[in-house]
Amino acid sequence: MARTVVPFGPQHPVLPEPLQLQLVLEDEKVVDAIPTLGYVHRGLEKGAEFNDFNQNVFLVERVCGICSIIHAWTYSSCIEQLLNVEVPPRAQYLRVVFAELSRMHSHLLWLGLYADAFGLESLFMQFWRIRERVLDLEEMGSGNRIILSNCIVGGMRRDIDDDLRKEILKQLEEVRKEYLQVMPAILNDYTVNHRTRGVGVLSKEDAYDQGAVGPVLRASGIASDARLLGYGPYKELGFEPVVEKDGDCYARGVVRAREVLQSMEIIKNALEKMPEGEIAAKVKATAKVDGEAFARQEQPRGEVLYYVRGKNDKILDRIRIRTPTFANIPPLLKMLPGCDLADVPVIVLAIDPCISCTER
Amino acid sequence: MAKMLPTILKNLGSKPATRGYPYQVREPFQQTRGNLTIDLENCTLCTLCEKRCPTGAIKIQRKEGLWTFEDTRCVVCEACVEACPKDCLKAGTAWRKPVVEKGRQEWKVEVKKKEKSEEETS
Repeated sequence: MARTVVPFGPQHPVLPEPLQLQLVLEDEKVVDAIPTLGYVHRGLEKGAEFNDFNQNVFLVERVCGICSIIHAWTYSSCIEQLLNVEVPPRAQYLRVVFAELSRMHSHLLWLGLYADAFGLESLFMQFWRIRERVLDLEEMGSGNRIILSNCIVGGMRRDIDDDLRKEILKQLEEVRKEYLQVMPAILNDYTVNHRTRGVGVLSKEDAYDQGAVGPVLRASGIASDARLLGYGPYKELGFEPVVEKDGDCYARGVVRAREVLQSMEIIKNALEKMPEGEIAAKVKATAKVDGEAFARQEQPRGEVLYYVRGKNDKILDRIRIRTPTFANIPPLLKMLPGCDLADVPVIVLAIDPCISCTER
Repeated sequence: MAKMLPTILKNLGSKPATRGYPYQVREPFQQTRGNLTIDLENCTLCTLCEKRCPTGAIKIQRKEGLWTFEDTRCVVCEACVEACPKDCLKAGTAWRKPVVEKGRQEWKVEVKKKEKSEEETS
């Protein structure tokens, strides 16, 4: 049969960011997909070679608007390894609180976009209304809505006092109530079930071979989460990864929907168990960074990887960032062949693509 | 339909979830990083703020005593506020207003010699 090539993106209603897929079609079936990246390259890795290591925290936060604190945390942990700085336990708990808040709002944003992809406009607004409450909590705690600028090398800049702790717990309870009303609307909806169950299936073996990360990997039945690696006090907070077995788009939605509730539990536990004490260790601004460091952490979209190399100077020699979407593109190309053209937007959205992160 | 009726009636009577910005502005939170207030009376031109600023919004020429600030470059991270030993820079909660052209403010700073002379005499 004759083959047609249809460009999908870089401008497409379901894509908030520019990714192009050249879809090779036979009739309505996708046979092959060729990705094209490079529309939003910002040269942040190079930019990081002109600032000193303290200034870079604010730069790496801007790699991704959604998971900014986790970028800052991962980068800081690399520098802390190199400078042998011990982060106070309270700072670690504070980092967990803000990281989980950003995971919550990222997943709520995604659930909204997902609803929007099926044409459920009202549901999209409901999810974003709930998300706004989470953003308000972030602003109350750190001063900014999304780019928190709260995590620095050595610890955190702002503490959570008793009033704020109570306020967060109160708001979270309300968010939970509202969320539990809205969540079944997307998971039990006939249209959503019909269009996502058995679509874009990624088997356990394929997910492993293609190096999928985050919710995509966990939806395929592999209980892999960078939070199990032992960074931060996740172990004390009783963290267990959320796993689904089906490996289709529906399972990816369920993983994220359940992770919102799980993050709420982690925040509550962290606020209860938070030890007293300092929130930041002193780091000399003129300290010289030498050697190599490497850190992996779990972002809402999956595992982020930082490599930092110093040259016995304040200014770093090299930073390498591998973001989760970069790792999830090969699995996406595995999911697409065999599906209908009409299902492509849903499958692409199911990996939660963040292209600005990927291209840095 | 019967199932939806309570929700419909509730939504008819409830206020919208959104605000009519810019006519209706929410009060900023206590911790909000909104703007940077600059008061250079006690400035000693130590250039710590310039060194900490991640975006290069602050530029200082020590010889001429010039203190330059580009507000469109500033990301209100407050690194300079934490660095300033004389509390010349302060953070405010009100959001900055949108602008149509890039702003550049300059100050001529005269470093007070008083403290120094006291030290010298003692």
